[in-house]
Amino acid sequence: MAKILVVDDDPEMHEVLQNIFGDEFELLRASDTAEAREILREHSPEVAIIDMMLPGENGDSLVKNGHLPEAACILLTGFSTGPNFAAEMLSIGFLYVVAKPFNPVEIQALVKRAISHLNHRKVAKKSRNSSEMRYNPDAVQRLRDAVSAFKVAVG
Amino acid sequence: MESKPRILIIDDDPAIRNILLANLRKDYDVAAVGSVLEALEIIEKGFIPQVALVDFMMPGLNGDQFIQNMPVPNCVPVLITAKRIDSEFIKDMLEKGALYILHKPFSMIELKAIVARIISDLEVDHGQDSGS
Repeated sequence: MAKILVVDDDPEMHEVLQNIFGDEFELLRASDTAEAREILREHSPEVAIIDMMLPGENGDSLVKNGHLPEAACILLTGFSTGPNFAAEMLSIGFLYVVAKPFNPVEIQALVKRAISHLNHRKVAKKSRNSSEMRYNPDAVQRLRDAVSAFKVAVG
Repeated sequence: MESKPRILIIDDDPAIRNILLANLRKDYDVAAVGSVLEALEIIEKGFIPQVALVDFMMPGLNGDQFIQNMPVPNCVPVLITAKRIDSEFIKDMLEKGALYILHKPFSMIELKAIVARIISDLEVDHGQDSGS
């Protein structure tokens, strides 16, 4: 079962995320960055959902300081997330920045996409290294057929 | 000398294509086309992108149809849309394969950060899967 590290000082947020993800994932709970670092000594979660504003050290420090190099990291933030803030968080290593309150449907889809991206990343890096980047002729043909079908449909 | 990462832009609006080209070509090898059909032609000619910036609403095939049938398996798609974004739309696009969904008018700072993030993800080897 894939693991999600949740770092948030709000117990209600842990319950909310447990309800959303508990059936499909093992949730590892931390209320601050120190607890998170303890957990990371023994676990390598696939995904980390981290609140920005935490007691003591802010949540982004876990990613900034390289504690989650392999995980797909999602930052939760209660304040307005302008493009500059989002860009800064992406540049330090977060995959997504999500404003609170979030929609459960959306965060569930983001986590699933994050996990598929992790798998893709491994394949793509190997392909790039071995010059195996290429196109899929079957997919090209499917799209060509769809374009032709569209042209016929609109006359 | 290592070649620049390749970005494919698919948008029927020439103004958007020009803005993206102007902002990205310094750091990337960028091709910009106006339709899915043109994208297929350039891909078949050998332009294999690492990232595709794909407009949602285009004449002919929409961007989500391209993403769903991604002709370059290792290419990471970013969907750009003027459509009102709600959670159901985001879920649908993520499930079809988009990694990010950007709303027009988008912030160039954010878009550049997204592209850089994807490229660094594909290039940085964290060590655990190297040598396998």
